[in-house]
Amino acid sequence: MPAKEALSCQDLGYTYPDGTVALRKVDFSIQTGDSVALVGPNGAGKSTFALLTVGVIFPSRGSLRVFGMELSRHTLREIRRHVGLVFQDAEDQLFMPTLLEDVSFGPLNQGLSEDQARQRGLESLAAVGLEELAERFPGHLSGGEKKLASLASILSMQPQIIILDEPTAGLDPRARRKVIEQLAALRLTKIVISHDLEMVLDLCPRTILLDKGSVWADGDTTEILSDKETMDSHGLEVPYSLSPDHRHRFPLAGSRHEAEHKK
Amino acid sequence: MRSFASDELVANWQKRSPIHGLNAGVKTAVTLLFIVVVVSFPKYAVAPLCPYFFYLALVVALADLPVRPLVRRLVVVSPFALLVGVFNPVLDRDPMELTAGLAIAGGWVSFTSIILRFVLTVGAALVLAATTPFHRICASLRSAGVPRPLVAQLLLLSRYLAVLVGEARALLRARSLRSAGNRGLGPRSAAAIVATLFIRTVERAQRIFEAMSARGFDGELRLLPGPPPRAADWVFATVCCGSFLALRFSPAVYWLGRVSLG
Repeated sequence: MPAKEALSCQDLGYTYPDGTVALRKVDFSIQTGDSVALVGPNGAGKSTFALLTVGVIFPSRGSLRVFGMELSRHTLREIRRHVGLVFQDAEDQLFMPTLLEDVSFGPLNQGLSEDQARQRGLESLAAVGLEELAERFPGHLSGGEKKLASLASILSMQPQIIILDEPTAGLDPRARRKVIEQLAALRLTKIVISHDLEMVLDLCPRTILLDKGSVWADGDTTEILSDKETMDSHGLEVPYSLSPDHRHRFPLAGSRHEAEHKK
Repeated sequence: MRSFASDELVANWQKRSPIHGLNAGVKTAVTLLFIVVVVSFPKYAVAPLCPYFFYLALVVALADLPVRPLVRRLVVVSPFALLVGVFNPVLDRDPMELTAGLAIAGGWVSFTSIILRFVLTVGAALVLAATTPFHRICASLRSAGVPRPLVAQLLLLSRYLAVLVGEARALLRARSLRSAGNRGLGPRSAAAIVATLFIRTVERAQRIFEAMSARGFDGELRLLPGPPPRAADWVFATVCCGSFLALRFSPAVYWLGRVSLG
């Protein structure tokens, strides 16, 4: 059975009120269950795209469809049932006074009863291993816990598509690894916006390279990220694990490389 | 970085005691009634206010609250009360007889009354904050009909005050590291820091609103309900409210007041 189209953009464009063009003529589609990375330099339009997907802002031109529904004020509520956005700064995402209140916020707004919302919240905290911190003040969590809590706050809404804006930014290696493992375990359509290209290699078979509001490359992650010319010309770097001299200097660097060596 | 929830007094809400275990809505209602009753006494009431200190002392003892931080907090906000009453002795010089042959200016009596009311009302509010999670107090206020924008403001303030303080400290530290030994902030630096903080706050508010909108926010910050009141909560409410009202309207208390003020 062919995969269903989860999200698609046709001729999508967005211009901020001050005249800054963030996105111009973006076209691509993502199938159900895909894990897609959105990479590009600062100011490429990645975060603007993320805001568009949940209708925080609306396209200036073209269209964005989620499961065939075109984003508009009439479809906003329905689209937000399907799409969850994890913001870059967990401090912005976790705005409620306790973790349990935060993860229950979305379900309550979806119209669930208080008991159902509480149950959903507890389940989503358990899914990321934070159930014991349910009554904790979000400001007292560590960076990694905040990221996982942000993820839980979206999982409790049971979205079918999840968009993650820089999910590993500012984390220490252990917390970063934990977040990556949690994301890898999610059986959802994922769009990962990140400068952490090693994580992109771990999580996303497909990559879309965005720069100056346009799509410059769309295809296999390893192919795009190892193309030095393309990466250099868009202010990016070939990840170290894909650089030619890396694997022999660090033979135990990771399972992906070991698998490549076995080929 | 210290936050609202880690404040040495407010952090006590996580303790377990008979007072901590009471329903948040009941505690909030009792505290509000306490404040209204205390404020409702006549201008020169001093002696009739004294029995209300028993409630405050009892609750502090039962909740095992540290007294020093409570007093320190009262002292910190006391200038407001002093400012309100400090001109009374000057403006109101009508003599009031305390006991036979001993009279003082009415302004001094009303000033004392203001200070007593301040200690009682602010003390009761602090005790409530130290024995109840702040979001449960906000939920109770919302249930009591307080407008939702005000409740949302209180909730967000309690959540982000620490973040704002942290940003201010970071700015001040960055400034001091490049101040080449110059002490003091100076008007230009102070203005720049305040302006930067203001801009960052507006930007953060925008991002928080975006995060809330993306999760279906429609103007109401919905909170999960706390546990319903139990028999012990009703007993506490009945005893406290009954005592407050009895003391307020009992002729014996007025008689006490008249005796003490002549």
